[in-house]
Formats: sequence, C-alpha cells, structure tokens
Amino acid sequence: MDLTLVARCREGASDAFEELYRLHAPRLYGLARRLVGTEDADDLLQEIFLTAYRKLAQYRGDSALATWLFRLGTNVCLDHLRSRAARTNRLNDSLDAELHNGHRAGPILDVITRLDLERALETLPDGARTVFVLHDIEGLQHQDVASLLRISEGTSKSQLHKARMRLRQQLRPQPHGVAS
Amino acid sequence: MTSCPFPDEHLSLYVDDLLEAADAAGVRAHLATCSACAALVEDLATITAVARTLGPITPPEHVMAKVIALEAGARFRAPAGDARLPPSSPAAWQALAIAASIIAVLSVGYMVWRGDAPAVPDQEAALVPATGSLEAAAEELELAVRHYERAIRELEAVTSRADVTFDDNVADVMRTSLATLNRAIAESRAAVAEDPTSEVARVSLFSSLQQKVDVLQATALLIEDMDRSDATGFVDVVNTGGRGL
Repeated sequence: MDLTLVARCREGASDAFEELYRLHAPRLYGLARRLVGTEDADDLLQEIFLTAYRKLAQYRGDSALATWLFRLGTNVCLDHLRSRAARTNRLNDSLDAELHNGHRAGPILDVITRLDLERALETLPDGARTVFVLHDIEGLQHQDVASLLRISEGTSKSQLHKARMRLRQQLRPQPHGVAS
Repeated sequence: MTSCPFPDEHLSLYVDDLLEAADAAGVRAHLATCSACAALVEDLATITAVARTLGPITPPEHVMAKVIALEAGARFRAPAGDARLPPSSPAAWQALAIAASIIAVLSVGYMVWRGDAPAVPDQEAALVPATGSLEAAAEELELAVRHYERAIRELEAVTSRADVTFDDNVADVMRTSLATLNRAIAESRAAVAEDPTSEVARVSLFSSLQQKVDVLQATALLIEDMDRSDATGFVDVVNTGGRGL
C-alpha cells in the first residue's frame, strides 16, 4: 500500500499527495513542534513534505513509509536546529549536572498532565530536548538516537537522564499546588 | 546522593530496563532502603509514562493548502540564470505589481510583527515543465493548476470561516489584491487556452496562482494569530506600508 501511494504521488494523481499528507502530517507535526518549537513548526512541516516530495523516488519500500518519513522529518528538524544554533552562536545546548533533590522522603511530582509535560519540554535546551523527544516520546532506542544525532550511546543516555531531571525540577508543584 | 552506591543515571537506566540483571537487582535492593532514590525512580517513571502518551498533533489547516501548492510548484523545474519573462497582459502586469506589493506588505509586515524574516518565493525564474513533449507539458500544467486550485479552496475555506474583522484599510487591500489576482488568473487561463505553446502565458498563470496562494496564506496566518493575541501591531505595520516598502 505504501509503494502504491508513493507511485500515485509520483504520477501526480490529484488526491495522492493530499492523502500522504493527511496520513502522516500529524505525527510529523508533533515531532516538529516538540523538536523546534511552535513558532517554526508550520514552516518545518512544509519543508518536510516538500523534501519528501523531492525524494519520493528514493523510497523503495524497504521500510514502512511512516518510518521513512519519520527519519526524513527528523533530519529536516535537526538540520534546522543546527542552523539555528549556528546563527545564535549557541555552543552548549546540553545539560550539565543537575541538582539532585534527594533529600525528600517521597516523590516530588503530583499528577502531571500531557500539557504540563509539553510546556516543561519547551524549557529544555535543544540537545537535551531532542534526546528526550526521540527516546521517551517517539520510542527510539539509544542506538538509533545516537546514530541520528551523531553522538555516542553513552552521551544519549546521559543527556536523557539530565533532561528527565530538569523536567522533574520544572514539574514540581509550586507551594499552592500548581506545577511550575 | 553521596551515600548511595551508584550515580543517579543508573536509576534512569533502571527505569528503562537497560541494566544487567545483577545491577538491576542491586538497585532494587537499594530502593527498598533508600526513600530518596525510591522517590526519584517513581518520578522518573511518571515522566516517562506521560511522555509515552504524547501523540501526534493535528497541524493548522492552512499548512496543508500550502504544502499542496508547494508540491504543484515543485512539478516545474526552474533553470538557473534565466531572465524574467514579462506577463502576458496589462492586467497581469498590474496584478503582479499590486500583488507583489500586497504580498510584500502583508508578509513582511506580518513577519516584522512576529520578528521573523520573510521567505519570498521566486516568481521571476522561467518555468519549464519537467517533461519534454508539449502534450506532457500541458498535462503537467493542468495538474499543477488543479493542485493550486485545491490549495486555494482550502485556504478560502479557512479565511472565510473566521469571524474576524479586519481594519478597513487591510480589508480593502486584500479585496483589491484578490480581485486583481482573479482577473490575472482568468486572463492567463484564456491566453494558455488560446496558445498552449506560449511559455509566457503559462508562466503568468502559474505566477498568479502562486501569488493568490501567498495572499491567502498570509491572511490565514494573520487570522490565526489574531485569534491568539492582539494584532494591532500588524495592522499598524500594514497601514504604514511595511518595512522599506
């Protein structure tokens, strides 16, 4: 079915590309928004699909189309982040050692909602957020994260843990009971 | 955590079930006696559990229309270095001039307000179909036109559903530009129908359709942001003619 849809897109069938978009845009938009932020996500989604259109001839059906598009979309987002980092001269987008709040008797998080987590995610630096999104949200293994980001598996694991610790700090309830 | 036998990161690996059996057993034994580490593991598990529930996000409707228009545009290949081709009629000239300024004012004004740099599509390169024969070229053009028209319908649905009132000046500018663009599109279509071999007519049609998409796209983005916040600044920018225009 994937190969058929791709073939129809390449032939220019009027509804094929729209079908491709409707099937795959929500996941790719979620990925883009969490990796690059709300402001750039619309443009990145357009760029992802335009890149996909240009590279459709390379899709051979070796993997699911969703997987192929996901990798393509991830690379588009990562290129954007690298370009943005270069423009802002941001040299360190990873997290250094986090404070460990290890002296409390019990867990510090109350019930957290998806919205709480989405908001807290925006506060992470690009590098740590990328690892968290790819591993914890998108479900990639550290080997794949490391390959995509051109880092070691050890760095991927380390950054993931630091991202989680930062999120834990961000999500701790305020004195009146609202997560920060 | 100085009294605990292993680093915090071990606890993340434990939550992810990435430790060797012996190490995992050591962590479990420690958690039974250390409330701080047990609390941390519980919180890490909470975060990862919620993260797993974050799913796809539906993009704004206008993005699909733009993607369809971009796909239509990508069907034509623009050779590098070609000179600009003139429009095929006086109305098309007027359309290009007005639409270019409208799009520039709306897009740049909008982007100035948002603090972004505009990405203006290249309207000036000669456009040739991707395939060689005339029939194939006509087919490709018709296909691209259908894609554009679908994109335009989608965008018009977005912009007409909104219950937003624009500043009179902005509304007049938009109405004028769309009317002029519609006239240019109609004239270009007629020119293509009369002479399917006319490169100038095809370029004019293609250019007018792209500009209409751009105007509607800018309108949709404006409506989206006006729903979220005060767009007074944007209207002020339009009224003062945008940046450098």
